[in-house]
Amino acid sequence: MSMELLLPSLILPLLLGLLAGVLCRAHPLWLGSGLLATWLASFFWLQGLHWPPVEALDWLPAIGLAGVLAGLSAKHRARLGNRTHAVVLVCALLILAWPVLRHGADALTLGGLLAAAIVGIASAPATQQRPASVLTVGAGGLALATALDGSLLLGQLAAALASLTLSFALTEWRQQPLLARLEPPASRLLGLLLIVLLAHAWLYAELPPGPSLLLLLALLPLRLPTPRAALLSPLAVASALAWLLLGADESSYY
Amino acid sequence: MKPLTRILATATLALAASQTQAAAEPGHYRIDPAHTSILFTVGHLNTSRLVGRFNRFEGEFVLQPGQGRIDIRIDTASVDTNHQKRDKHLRSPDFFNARQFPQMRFVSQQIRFNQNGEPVAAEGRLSLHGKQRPVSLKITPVGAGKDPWGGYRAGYTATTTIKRSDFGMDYMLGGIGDEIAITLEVEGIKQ
Repeated sequence: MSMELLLPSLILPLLLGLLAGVLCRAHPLWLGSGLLATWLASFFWLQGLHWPPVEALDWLPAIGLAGVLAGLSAKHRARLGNRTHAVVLVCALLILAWPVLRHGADALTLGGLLAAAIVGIASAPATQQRPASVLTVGAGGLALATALDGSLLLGQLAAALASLTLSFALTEWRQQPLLARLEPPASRLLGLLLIVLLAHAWLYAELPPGPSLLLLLALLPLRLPTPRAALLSPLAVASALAWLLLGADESSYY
Repeated sequence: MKPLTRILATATLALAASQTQAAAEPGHYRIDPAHTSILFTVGHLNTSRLVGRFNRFEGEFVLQPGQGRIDIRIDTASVDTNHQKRDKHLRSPDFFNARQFPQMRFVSQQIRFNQNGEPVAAEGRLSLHGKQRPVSLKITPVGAGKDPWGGYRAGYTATTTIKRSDFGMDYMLGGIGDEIAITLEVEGIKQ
């Protein structure tokens, strides 16, 4: 695989993710912004900066705005109350989902986004069980799925997300973590980003519905309090990839 | 050559000449999709050239010196390179992003006619992938005449070359060529 593919989607986000994890160890609240900036570096490398936005993907940097909204709401949740917090998160998701809704507001797309909103926004445990592992496996699965069946570009963007959370995933399994833990709102922000990438893959790259739903299911452990729930992610991802590979034949590759 | 053979050969040549050399009648023509092909050729890994086509399109042209017009609308999702997976990839955000940009369209702004009243070149704008760029077509008349069903048809070959990066389609420029040669084999039915 050429360096042209590896640098922006694997090497750069891995290194910058490590840097963000070390720098933000003392300031976990900044971790989400730091990781988002890391992912955006890969995004701008791959997609470029287009203003005004032309393609749906050009709107993805708006996740910065969505992230700020979600982060501020989470920080002041006690004062705002759960309902207001949920409304703000829905608005954040709408900002992210706007390009998808513009071009694909059919029942299935709306249903998928609603399911994603429920997965992302429904009342959650105070701390998530190994969120970085879930995100890494989910993003990695999306990267492979879209690279196999649709869009290499979306695959690279998902791979960048998987790379920057990989270091955090490995450190989650240590008794004494080397990096800052990936707690909400950082994990929530990255989860939202992953859901939007999945929505783009479903709508624009024609990722089949079955694997798309399985990849969405792979994020469910972010909302489940039990440690064993994290096993659902690799199972769902493996099922999605098996589905795609079993449907492929020799002529699928070119 | 026997006299009968000579007569038949002469008659055939005369008929062919009447079909191919006469300039098309001025008027408004609707492009006949059943007898029109829109093809493109692109380089692959600096090794070979791949030919593809678009299968769904519509359009019209007006033959009238001073008032000529060409308008062709192509469904980008109909891209066909004889490989299902590759066609799916071409429809994706990596290339045409057909869901967001379902149509590419060429509209002429100026058509140049020769002394016989036949179009030989057209300048216009191509809308593709959310961008508009000026494009020139070189046009070669093929033939014109009545068809067996009482209609009148005119056919042309139009060619041009564009750079996909000019239209924001710049993914994998290293492996897939930037220059795309486009050929339109058009038959129009006079309205």
